[in-house]
Amino acid sequence: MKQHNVYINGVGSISIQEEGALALPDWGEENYLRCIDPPFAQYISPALLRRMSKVVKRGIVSALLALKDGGIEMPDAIISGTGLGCIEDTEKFLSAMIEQNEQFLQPTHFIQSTHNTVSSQIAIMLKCYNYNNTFSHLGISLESALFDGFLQIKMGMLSNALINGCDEMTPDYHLMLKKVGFWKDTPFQMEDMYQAITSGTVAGEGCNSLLLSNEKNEHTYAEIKDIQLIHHRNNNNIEELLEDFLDKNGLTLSEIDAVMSGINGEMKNDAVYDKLYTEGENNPTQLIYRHLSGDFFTSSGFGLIQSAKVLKNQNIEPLLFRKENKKNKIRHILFHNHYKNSTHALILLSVCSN
Amino acid sequence: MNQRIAITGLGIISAIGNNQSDTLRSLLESQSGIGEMQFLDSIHHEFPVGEVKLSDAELKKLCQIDDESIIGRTTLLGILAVREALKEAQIEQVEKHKIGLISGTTVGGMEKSEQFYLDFLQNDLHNEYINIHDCGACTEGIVEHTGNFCFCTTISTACSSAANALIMGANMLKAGYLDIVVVGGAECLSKFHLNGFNTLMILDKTPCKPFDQNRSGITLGEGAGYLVLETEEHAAKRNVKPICFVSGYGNACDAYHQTASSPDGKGALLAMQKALKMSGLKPQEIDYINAHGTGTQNNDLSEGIAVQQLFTPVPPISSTKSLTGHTTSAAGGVEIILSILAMKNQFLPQNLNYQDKIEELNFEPIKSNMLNHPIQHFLKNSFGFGGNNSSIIISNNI
Amino acid sequence: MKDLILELKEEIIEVLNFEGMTPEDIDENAPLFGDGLGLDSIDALELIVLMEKKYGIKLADPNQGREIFASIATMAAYITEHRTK
Repeated sequence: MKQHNVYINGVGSISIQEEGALALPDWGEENYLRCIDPPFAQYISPALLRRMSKVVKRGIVSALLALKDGGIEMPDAIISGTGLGCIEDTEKFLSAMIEQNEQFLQPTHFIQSTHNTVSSQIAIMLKCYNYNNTFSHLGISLESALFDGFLQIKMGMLSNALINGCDEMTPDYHLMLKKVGFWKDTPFQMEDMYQAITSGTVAGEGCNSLLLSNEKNEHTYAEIKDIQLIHHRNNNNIEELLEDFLDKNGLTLSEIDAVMSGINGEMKNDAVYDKLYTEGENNPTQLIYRHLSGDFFTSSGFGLIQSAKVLKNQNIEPLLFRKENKKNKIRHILFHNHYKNSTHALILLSVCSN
Repeated sequence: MNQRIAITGLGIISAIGNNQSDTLRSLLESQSGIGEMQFLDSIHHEFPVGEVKLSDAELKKLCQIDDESIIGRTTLLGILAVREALKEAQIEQVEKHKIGLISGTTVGGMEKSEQFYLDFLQNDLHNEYINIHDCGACTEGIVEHTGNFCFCTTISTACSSAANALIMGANMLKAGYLDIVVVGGAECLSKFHLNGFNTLMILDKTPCKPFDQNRSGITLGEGAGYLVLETEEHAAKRNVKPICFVSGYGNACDAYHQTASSPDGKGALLAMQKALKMSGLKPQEIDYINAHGTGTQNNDLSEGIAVQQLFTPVPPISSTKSLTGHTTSAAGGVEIILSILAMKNQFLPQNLNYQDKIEELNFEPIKSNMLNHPIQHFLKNSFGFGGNNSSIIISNNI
Repeated sequence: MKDLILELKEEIIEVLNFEGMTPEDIDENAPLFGDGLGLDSIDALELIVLMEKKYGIKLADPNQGREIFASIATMAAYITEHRTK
């Protein structure tokens, strides 16, 4: 089978960051920040806007930005990942159902509660009849969507694919996740990202879109060489699996210039990365992003976009550094995200010299 | 040829049976599983449902899971079906294979969250259920009780979730990322779903009547259906005989409305055309269509128009939702398996509760089981909210 | 009747999320569906919920709503005649 190359040709993001250069946000007492929303009316007609919840609007705008950035109007596929789906509408419907004893419920909240709302609303807006899919698998929801698009482009089934990672963090869901220990209960400090000694992380939300294509052109940020999603409940051989993944792509860890990892200031989470990337010799430069995006099930979308920009611009914004170990040209970035050490996503990104 | 995608195991649970053999018996006898709700605690008893005839406690017992375990009904249904599928495929130790699980679900652990939601917000009585609320947690729960899969993800495209899981699984096999993949979906009944569909005024107060002129909506069901897929070559290497083959699939978007199908059935037509194209088959080679056929005015007309555009004449067609109810995310898996059971036993399953032809359409569904009727290829439609339409073509093992 | 019309306008703005719109922006005699406010089938379902919740009027068939929901004025007339609360 002829294998095609896969490139990132466009990106779009709605996040807790202001437009422009990255800044370390003030995480405040609660360690909880919400998106800075764009003027939605500039992108979406009032008739459609009226019914959409925040995450749907954001997902559409980030998708439109990525398409524009990549110079494509009609993608071959729209594939989204969302850990929690459209929870604002889900919560509205669920609480009304309980409070009103299953009576007088509003259809709109049910309709928009479905996880695939973002993918399908993008399709409806674009009149895009092509492949359309949505993944919802905890911390690898976006990676699953990315993998689906990557796979199909590689096999020649698609020439491009719009990938979106969308999650919102409503106050109620934030509270629920707080109860099961997701968030830090001490104020966030930058030191947490260098050496975590407490549990919990910082809560964010966002929608991040990437336009993948089989064509290298003036829009190209980077090449996605390979993606591997690894699921292992008794995960003691991740080192071996990482080595296999790199080996399959003709590389060793010492040839990786930088690792963009899902370090988030949670000690158990970060220990996994530290063991892999700080204990050997000739360690790659360590890059981080979750202090800038907050943590949510699809926050890796934000990190992927930063990685793509690093490869394109050959410039690393200072706030992305955890530790600079190499100063040479950045040829390969290993993107590594794991969820509770039971699922790992390894994504190999490489520079494209035109 | 040896790269053909073989199906080597099936697992099913729904209102008409807890396993393959019970299901086949019901299917042969056209025994519907739809009736008044016994297990779902809702005020809306006016709507019949297709429940799996086991309580959560009985399901746990059947799964050999401790009654105290924190586990949702969707996960329990999934565990039973995945185990049955793995057994048939002769996979005893999952960790010995390069095997993945791709599961479809939509409301995840909602049937527990809707019981404890106020507690989640107001006290700490049921915090342990917070972690099993979402879709991914359901799949992880299935994995926990079925084996150490090396790849695992969840698709959530509403009622076409299981069909899309099959598509992704087949692609992964073709690209060599996995040797074996278990695909399908699971969904239990929930008040959330029942009330949600009720707000759209598309639930039937009598058992659903797909493709009938006087159809008046969906009957919700629940269940799980999973298939084991591997390349023909890999099955041969393991000395496992394929049950049948996946010969084509297509996913398209109707791009019309969040909940309604387009009047011309555009998305449905595109999905079927893509599936046919991949299979290399001509429309007249399809011997049977297992329709999405929800029983709503909108779906059956839209789907019927799309089918008519592609097939002249329309091959025998039925919606088995008239037996099981609409198992939502599981429907793709459940209904492909029902059709495979029919194919292996050479009959075409009946479309129950049908009386009058839809005026705008030129075909009638199968009115009673057609016995001694070989199927070489069948097409399965699975459509979801948001216009997530997928079609799958399965071919017999010859 | 006038109060009811104003009330309906306010309810519709609220329930159907017409952000930034005021009751004065809606002509009670203009069609709600199609040209006027441009409501669609989902809005019709929302209006059915409103009728039941607020005025105790139960419409079993969504198609029945088409005539009743022709305009705010027709809605008000129907409610006046059939309301149970």
